[in-house]
Amino acid sequence: MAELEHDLRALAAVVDLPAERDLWPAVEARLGVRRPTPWLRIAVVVAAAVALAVGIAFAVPPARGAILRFFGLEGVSIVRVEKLPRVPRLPAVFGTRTTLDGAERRLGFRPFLPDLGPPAKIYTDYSNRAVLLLYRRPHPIRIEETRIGIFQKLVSGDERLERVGVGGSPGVWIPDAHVVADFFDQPRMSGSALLWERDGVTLRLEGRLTKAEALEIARSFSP
Amino acid sequence: MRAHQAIAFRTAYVLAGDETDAQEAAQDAFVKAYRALGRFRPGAPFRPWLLSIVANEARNRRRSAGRRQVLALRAAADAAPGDAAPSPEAAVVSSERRQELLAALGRLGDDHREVLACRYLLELSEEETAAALGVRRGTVKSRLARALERLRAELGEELDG
Repeated sequence: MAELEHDLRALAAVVDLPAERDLWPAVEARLGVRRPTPWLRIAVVVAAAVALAVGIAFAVPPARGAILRFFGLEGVSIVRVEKLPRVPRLPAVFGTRTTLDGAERRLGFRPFLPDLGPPAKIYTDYSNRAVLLLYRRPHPIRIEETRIGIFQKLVSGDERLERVGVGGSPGVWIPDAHVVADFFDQPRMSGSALLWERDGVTLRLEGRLTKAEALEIARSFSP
Repeated sequence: MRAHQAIAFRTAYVLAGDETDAQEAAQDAFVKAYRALGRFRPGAPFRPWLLSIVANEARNRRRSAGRRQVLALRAAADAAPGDAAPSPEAAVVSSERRQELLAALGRLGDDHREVLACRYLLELSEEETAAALGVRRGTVKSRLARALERLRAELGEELDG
């Protein structure tokens, strides 16, 4: 039996399976990925690959018990690790620039907006699962909203997570630096962030904000 | 994602038995995997998850094409005189033995041929093979043992006969 298995393994080196081919251009086209510039295309591919490989990155703590999903937030998965992994620094990828109406058409829901005036920029991700709202004033703020996705986070062992309420909805405040895998970028380091759910939409607010400031902005969301 | 396209395509080829179907199945699987990323369980290995989607697409195509006997395996052409020396792996299996093995594989039933192809030709792990074939790991083990027995019988290598 051992010889037969050995021969079968050896056969792998010579068996004439069809040559590898690049499937990605067709996949990209069907996902609606535009090709504005080569570097962006590369970044998109890298981001998709890294996002897909995030399971590997998130497998750093093999213990299942380290995965925290007890905050009543279906769209948030937090993994506690002993040491945060190094994440690559790659060009930022924001997705497709759009308007509020455009985002609503693509996502199937109207993005909630904070009481900060119109966003400076609005993007949807390439799979049309999430919207990204960027504000410059009064602070640089990044808001993401999704109804069918999940935010994945890695926090270090001593990070103190705090359960909070946002207008009667469950939320979590992550006060310190952590790794986030979202819809727009490769896994990256993030500062403090607030996550909460509202009417089936998971929202994420990131910026140089105190907990009180973040909660005040979160509670101002409408409609 | 791109890093997985070779194994996705080859797995689809083994299960669909046709290059065009395999290419379409792998592409469809990537699109579905990308859109289903939110359902991917953090901490779970990624490749089995992707391969299970690929395999579903490939099997659906094979079914809709009504193909039964699939995967005509061939050995790559033997090196012509003057070519680079064959790889050490290729060199240890004679050309005649290769043809015997491939012919015997071709005579096996789909289940047996597929489990052998996944484990030995695609070099998938047990977990990946289970995902690709849509069965439990224990089934992979038992099916593999039976497939090897069957293959030995086809090769006339039974211990008792």
